[in-house]
Amino acid sequence: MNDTYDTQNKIVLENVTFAYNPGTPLEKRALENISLCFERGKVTGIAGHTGSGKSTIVRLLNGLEKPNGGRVLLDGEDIWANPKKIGKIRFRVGLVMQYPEYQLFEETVRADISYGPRRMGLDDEEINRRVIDSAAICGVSESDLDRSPFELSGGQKRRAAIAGIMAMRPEVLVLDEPAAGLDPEGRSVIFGAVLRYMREYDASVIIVSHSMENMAEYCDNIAVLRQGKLELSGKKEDIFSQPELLIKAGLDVPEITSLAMKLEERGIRVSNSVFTVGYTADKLSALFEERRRAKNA
Amino acid sequence: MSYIKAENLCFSYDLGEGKKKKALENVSFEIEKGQYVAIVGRNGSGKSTLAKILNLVLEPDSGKLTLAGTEINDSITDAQLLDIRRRVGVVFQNPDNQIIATVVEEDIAFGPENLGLPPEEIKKRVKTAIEAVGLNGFERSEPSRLSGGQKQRVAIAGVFAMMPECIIFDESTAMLDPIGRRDIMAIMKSLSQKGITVINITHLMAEAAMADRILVLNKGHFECSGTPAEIFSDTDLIKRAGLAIPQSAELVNELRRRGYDVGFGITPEECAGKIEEYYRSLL
Amino acid sequence: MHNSITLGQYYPVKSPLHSLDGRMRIFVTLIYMIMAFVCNSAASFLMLALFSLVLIFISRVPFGVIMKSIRAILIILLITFIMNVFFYTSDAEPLFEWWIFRLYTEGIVKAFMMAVRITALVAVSCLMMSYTATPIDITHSIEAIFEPIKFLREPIHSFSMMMFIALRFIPTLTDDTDRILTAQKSRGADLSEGSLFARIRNLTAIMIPLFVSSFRRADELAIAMECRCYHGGEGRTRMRTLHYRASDFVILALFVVYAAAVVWLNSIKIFGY
Repeated sequence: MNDTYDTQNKIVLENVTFAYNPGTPLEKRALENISLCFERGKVTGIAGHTGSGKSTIVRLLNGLEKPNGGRVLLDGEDIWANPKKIGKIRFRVGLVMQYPEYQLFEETVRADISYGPRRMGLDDEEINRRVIDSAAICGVSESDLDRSPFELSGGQKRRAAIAGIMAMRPEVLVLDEPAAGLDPEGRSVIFGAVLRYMREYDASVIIVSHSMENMAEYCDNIAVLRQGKLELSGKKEDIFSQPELLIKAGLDVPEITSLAMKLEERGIRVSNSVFTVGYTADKLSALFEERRRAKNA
Repeated sequence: MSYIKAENLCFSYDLGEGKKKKALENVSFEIEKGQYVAIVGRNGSGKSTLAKILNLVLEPDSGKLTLAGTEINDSITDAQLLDIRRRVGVVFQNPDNQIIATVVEEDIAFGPENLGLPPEEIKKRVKTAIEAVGLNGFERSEPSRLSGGQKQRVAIAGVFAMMPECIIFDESTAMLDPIGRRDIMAIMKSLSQKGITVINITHLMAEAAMADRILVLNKGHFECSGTPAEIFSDTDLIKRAGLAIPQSAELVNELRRRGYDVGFGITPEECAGKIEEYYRSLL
Repeated sequence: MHNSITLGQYYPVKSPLHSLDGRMRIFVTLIYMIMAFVCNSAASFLMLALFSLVLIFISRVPFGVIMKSIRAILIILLITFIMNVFFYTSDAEPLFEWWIFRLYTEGIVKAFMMAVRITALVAVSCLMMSYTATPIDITHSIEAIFEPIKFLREPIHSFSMMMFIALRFIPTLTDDTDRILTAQKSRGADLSEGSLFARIRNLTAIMIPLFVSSFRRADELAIAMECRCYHGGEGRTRMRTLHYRASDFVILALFVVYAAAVVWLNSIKIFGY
């Protein structure tokens, strides 16, 4: 990732330190001196084992907690410069919590998606436009908009909840385990919607997860946390070229990566960095062909 | 006679106003005692409905279900029902919603207490169950302070303490992190080795890979059953049923599709071996 | 983000009062309370105060911790004291007279006795029912007491199971509330701003998801309990049976001695009180 004040960087954590209940006997250090940049138009994954500080980062980005040290910069400005305006920041940095379907409460899906935009004080016309638009991005059909959110299936509920956040048109979209409990189809629908939103609004997307396979598939950059410290960060390709470090951080490397590691032990080097099946199949096919040619020659 | 037998199970949810939604249609299968079976299918395939029928929470509209050798019908007595529940235990998805007590060992004792066992026997069983799931040292802990994986182990121990013949895992790992999931998978395996019939209802193929046999549900129908190798190498079936097989199996399938006859494997270890063999054979 | 709430004010140390059998606990506490009302002489009130201090000493709960529960009733204590002092009427010579107020020595003594009684009752009932026992212990004890009465067994069992589960779910529901609150806050909900109507409206954004999640939990819990062979209190045994221990009887003896002392001291008057 690049320099802190680069205009590409939408939101930046600058030497952020955070502890719960600071100065009391219950003090619990959660993050230590974290510096991270999240680029516009890119998906950044934050990976880490339970208790690594991932959820704390989410709370900091959304202004739900204030760092004890360091700053959170949105477009180069400290989000806590004026604490009274922190509510406005929450509209600009949208947060999709884990199992967001549990936050649905309105009588209709439409009303629920409008909740955020209404709180922003937008006019009805604009709200309506946004509802239709984010419902379309998330694949919530028009006919479902007037149904009760509680009548929808699990996957539909989750999409409606995410649409509710997208309708606020946040410049940064933070998602905590967005695919938890979904089957492969449901998962690809959700990630598809997130990518589409990112492209349409040039947003910066941050995905928090412990599934390295999802990261491998959808992220551009990855940051790995371990016990409140930044263990690794950089482009996806660079991260997966050091699988040993991921394992050290208590993460599961994608199965295909560990397969490549096993092949390497056996003297077959697939590539410097392996994380998708298609890519591995390509590389192996090339190896096989090369060997065939060598034999024929 | 098979231990669990489903014959033409049908079930529809009543949506009100005369509308119905079919969830299961003529589902038939058999599970032998001591088998380790995975029931897989995407969301909406009917697997959670089937789970509820197997837990005796829902009653099928038609069809016949035999559990632990007893046919489930209206003439079943309360005592029989209790006996079936003791023999066929269930571990659910959300650990928070199945732990009853505020102390680990007291929660594990809940089932045996319901069976009316003498206190000494209950204590003995709780001890064995704690060892079986590796929760030694957590006897007096408060479940709400444990990790998700540990909570699920408490739930398993609670079922284990009733000395069941069969344990149904109803999406029990869906809310866990990778480490918790791995722990639970290891316990399922060890339970199976103890001779307990294990049924794992899941959409995670990496979990299904551990079973002896996989039953595939698709859109309320019973699609097929087979060993993990049979199921995972059938790419059409995988696509049709909307499943995602483990990446290693996907890779060897893909290589075969491209005309490289590497054979088939499920675990990374197995696949690496097969690929190496093929690679060496080329020269 | 774990919410640890200790229900009640259980003070975790080891003492004969902490290990007291639940049934005995309720029984001796009742003796204590009845005797607190039987007290009517200065000497017996002195006994009451002294015995309360002895109990606190035995419990090994620091005095300061107990004082906290008394601080909570300080206002009530003050009001009762003043009422008793000022509204006491007697034919006797007033001690002090000013405007419409007449203070009698007896009134002051009576008010003082009442204050001692309330303080002692609050301190000791908190000590016995809260500092030295968890709410769950108390629930079990109540169930155990009614166990021998057949027609009460089932309703009491249901009631105590209900209490038990409610207590068990408090931390879970607190976590739920916290999560929903965070989610709605990041959608712009603000519970501290706006008109009363707006605030109520915002509250629904919290309450509805909370209800939905509670009902879901209740539903799943009921199924899980049924699958673990729960079928009411009938034929159910317990892993931990309540046992009387030698120390329980020592405590009982202490309370009996206290009761006898109160009765005897009631007949002894110091300076006529």
